[in-house]
Amino acid sequence: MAKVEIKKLSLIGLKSEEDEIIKALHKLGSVEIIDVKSDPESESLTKVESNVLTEDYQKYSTLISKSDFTLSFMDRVSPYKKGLFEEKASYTENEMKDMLDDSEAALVMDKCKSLDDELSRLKNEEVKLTNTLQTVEPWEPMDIRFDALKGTASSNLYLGSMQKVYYQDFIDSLKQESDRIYIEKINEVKELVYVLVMAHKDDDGIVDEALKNYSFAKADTAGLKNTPKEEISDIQEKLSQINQKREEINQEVLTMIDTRPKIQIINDYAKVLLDREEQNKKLYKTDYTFMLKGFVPVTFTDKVEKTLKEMTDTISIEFTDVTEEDDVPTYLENKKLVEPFEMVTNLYSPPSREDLDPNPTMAPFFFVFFGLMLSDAGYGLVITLGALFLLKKMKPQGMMKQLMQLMVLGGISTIFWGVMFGGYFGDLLSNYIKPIWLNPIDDPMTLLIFSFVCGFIHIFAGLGLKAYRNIKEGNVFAAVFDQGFWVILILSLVCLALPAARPIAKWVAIAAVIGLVLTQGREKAKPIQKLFSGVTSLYDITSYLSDILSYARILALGLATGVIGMVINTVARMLGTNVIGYVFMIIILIGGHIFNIAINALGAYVHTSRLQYVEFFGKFYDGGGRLFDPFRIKTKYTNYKESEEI
Amino acid sequence: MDISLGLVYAIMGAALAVLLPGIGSAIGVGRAGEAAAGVVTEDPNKFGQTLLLQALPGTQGIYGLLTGFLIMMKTGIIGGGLVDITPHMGLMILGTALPIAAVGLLSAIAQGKAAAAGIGIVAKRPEELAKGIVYAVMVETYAVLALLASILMLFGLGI
Repeated sequence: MAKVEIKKLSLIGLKSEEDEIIKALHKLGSVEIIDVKSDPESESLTKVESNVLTEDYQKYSTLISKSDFTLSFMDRVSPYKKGLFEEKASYTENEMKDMLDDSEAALVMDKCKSLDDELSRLKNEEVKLTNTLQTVEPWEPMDIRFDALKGTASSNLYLGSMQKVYYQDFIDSLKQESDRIYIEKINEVKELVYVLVMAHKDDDGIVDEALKNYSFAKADTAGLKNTPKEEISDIQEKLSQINQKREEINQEVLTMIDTRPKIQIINDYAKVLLDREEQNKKLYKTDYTFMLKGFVPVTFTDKVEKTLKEMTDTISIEFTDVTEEDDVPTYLENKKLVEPFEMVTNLYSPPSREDLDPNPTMAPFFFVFFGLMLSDAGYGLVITLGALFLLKKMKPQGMMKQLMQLMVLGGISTIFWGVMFGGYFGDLLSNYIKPIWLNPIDDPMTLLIFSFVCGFIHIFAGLGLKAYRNIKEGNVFAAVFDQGFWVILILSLVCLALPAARPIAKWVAIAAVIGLVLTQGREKAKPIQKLFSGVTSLYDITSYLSDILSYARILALGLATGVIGMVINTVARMLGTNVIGYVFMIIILIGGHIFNIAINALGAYVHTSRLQYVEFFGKFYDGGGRLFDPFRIKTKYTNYKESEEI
Repeated sequence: MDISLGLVYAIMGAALAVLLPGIGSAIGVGRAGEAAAGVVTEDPNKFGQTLLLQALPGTQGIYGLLTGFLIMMKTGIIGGGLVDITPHMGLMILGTALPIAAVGLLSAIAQGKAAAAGIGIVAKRPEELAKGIVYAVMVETYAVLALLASILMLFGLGI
C-alpha cells in the first residue's frame, strides 16, 4: 500500500497496428505516455519525426471548434441548465462514433454557424441605422426633403450644427458682411443648434470663413432623400424589422436545442479522438515500426501486457526500472478508508520520489481532529447524510468524489465526538441527553489538555515518520540524534509536570539536552562551531512549544460550534411565545443551524488541514511530486461506457 | 430595578467583543471580496474557490459574537435574571473581552489582506488553492488563541 513503484514501459510494434494499440491503451487508462524526444534513454535516436499534422488531426480539431462554437451559441440563446443532481449520460464508443456521422447534428452545426453570421450582419446593420438615426433626428422640425436641399446656380446651401453660445455672434458677424445671407435655426438640442445657411455664391469666402471661425460642423446627409420625418420613421421601421428577425432566429435555435446532447457527444468524442492523434507526436517511428515509452505503476503492468498481447503477437513489451534522470510521477494506492484523505495531501503537494506516502498516518488524525472541531452529533448526521446523498445522486468524479467521501467520514467522527460531548444541534437536547464524557463549556481545561495531548501524539507521529525515512535512507544516527533526542526531551519536559515522575524526568531531560548539544553540530568542521550549533539548536524548543499550543484551536473551534448553536437555540426559544413566534422560531432554528454547519464545517476543514500542513508535514514531508496522469479517456458532457462486446 | 455599575462594565465588555471583531471581519471579508470579484470577471468558474478564501476573515466576527454572547449569558442579560455584579467583577468581565476584541479586529483585517493575496494565487494557479488558504489560516491562529484566552478567563471567573 501507499506509494506504488513505477515501471517504465518500452513498447515496439508494427506501424500498421499503431492505431489499434493506442486505442487500447487509451481505454485501459493505465499508462502515462512520455514523449520519446524528452526521454533520456532515447537521446541517441536522432531520426525522430517532428510529426506532421495528419489529416485526421485536422478533421477532429475542426469538429471540436465547430461543436464548441455550436454549444456556446446555443448557450447564448438558451443557457444550458444542468440539474444539480443530474447524472451524465453514458455512451459506448460505438454509440459516440455513430454520432460523428449523424446528419442532423452536422446540419444543426452548419445552421448555427450561418445563423450566427446572420446575427452579426443584423448587428452591423443596426449600428449603422442607429448612427444615421442620430444624425437625422435633430432635423425633424425641418419640413424639406433632403434631396431638395441643394444650392442653386447662384447660391450655396449649408446644413450643420454649432455650439449654442456662438450662434448669436455667428449671425451678427455674417449680417455685418453681407445682406444676401439667409440663416434659419432648425432645432436646438442640448448645447447645439442646428442651422440652415443659404448664401449667394459671391459671398462664399465670407461664409466659409465664418463657418470655420465658429466651428460649424457640416451635417452628413449623404444617402438621405426624404424629409427628416419620413427618414426617421423609415429607420425605425427597419430597426423593428431587425429585432423581429433576431427573434425569429432565436426561435429557430430553440427548435434545434434538442440536438444539444448530440453535439455534446460529438464534442466529447472528437476530443477523445484528437487525444489519440496527439500521442502520435510522442512516438519514435521507423518505416514499419513505432516505439512508445511510458510510465506504468507496477500494479498495472500485468494488465497492460495481457491486453496488448491478446491483441497481437507482433509486439514487444518491456518493463524496466526507472532511472535517476526520469521524471517519475507519483501513484498512490491506499485502502478505501484512507483514499479520500489523499485529496488533503494532494492539495498541499503530492509526495515526491523520496517522500513517504503520508496519507495512511495522516488519515486518522484528520478524522479525529475534524470531529473534535465540530463535535455535534446533529451536525455530523446532517453532513454525513448530505454527503452520502450527493455521492449517490451526482456520482461525482475525482477530487469532488474524494471531498464528499471525506465529508462522510468527517461527519461520522463529528457524530462520535458530539455524543461524547453532548452536542445535539447546539444544546437543543442537552436536557434529555447527557454527555458521555464531558461538556466542554463546563470543563474547558480538561478538553484543552486533551487537545495538547492530541498535538503531542500528532507531532511525535511526524517525527517518527522522519526517523523512519532517515533509517530507510541509511541515516540511523540522524534518526536517533535529530528525532529521538527531541522526543525524549519533550516527553521528559511534559513529565516534569507530574510530581511523581519529576526526579527521574529532570535527569532524563538534562541528558537529552546534553545529547542534543553534542550531536546537533556534527556537520560542522571545527569543535567550537560544533558546540555553537549544538547550543543554538536548543532554540528549536520554541518551535515545538508553538506547535503544541497551536492545537488549542481544537478546543476553541469545538467551543465555537457549541456556543453558536446555543445562541441560535436561545434566540429561537425567546421567540417561541405565540403562534407567529413559533413560525419564526422554526425558521431561525433551521436557518441558524444550517449557517452554523456551513461556517464551522469550513472552519473545521481548514484548521484541520492546517494542523496537517504546518505542524505535521513540517516535520518530515517535502512534497513537490507530480501525480501520475495516465493517457485515459476524458469527457466533459458525457460518461464513457465500456461496450459490452469487449 | 437597580442597575449595578458592574453590569454596566460587563455590557461594555460584551459590546466591545461583538463590535470590534465585527468591524474587522467586515473589512477583511470586503477586501477579499473585491479581489475575488476581480478574478471572477476573468473566469466565472473560480467563484467557489474564491468564495472559500473570502469566507476566512469572517470567523473573527463570529468569535466576537460568541464571546459577547457568553458574557450576556453569564450576566443574565439574556436568559433572564440579571446577576448582581460588583464593579470589580464587571471590570474583570470587561477585561476578558479585550483579547478577542482587539486581536479579532486587527487579525481579521490582516487576514483579509492575506486572503486577497491568496485569491491572487487562485487567479493564476487555481490548483494551488490550498496554499493560499494556509497563508490566510496562519493569521487566524492568533484570533483563535485570543478567543481561547477570552473564553478561559470568562469561565475562570466563576459567575
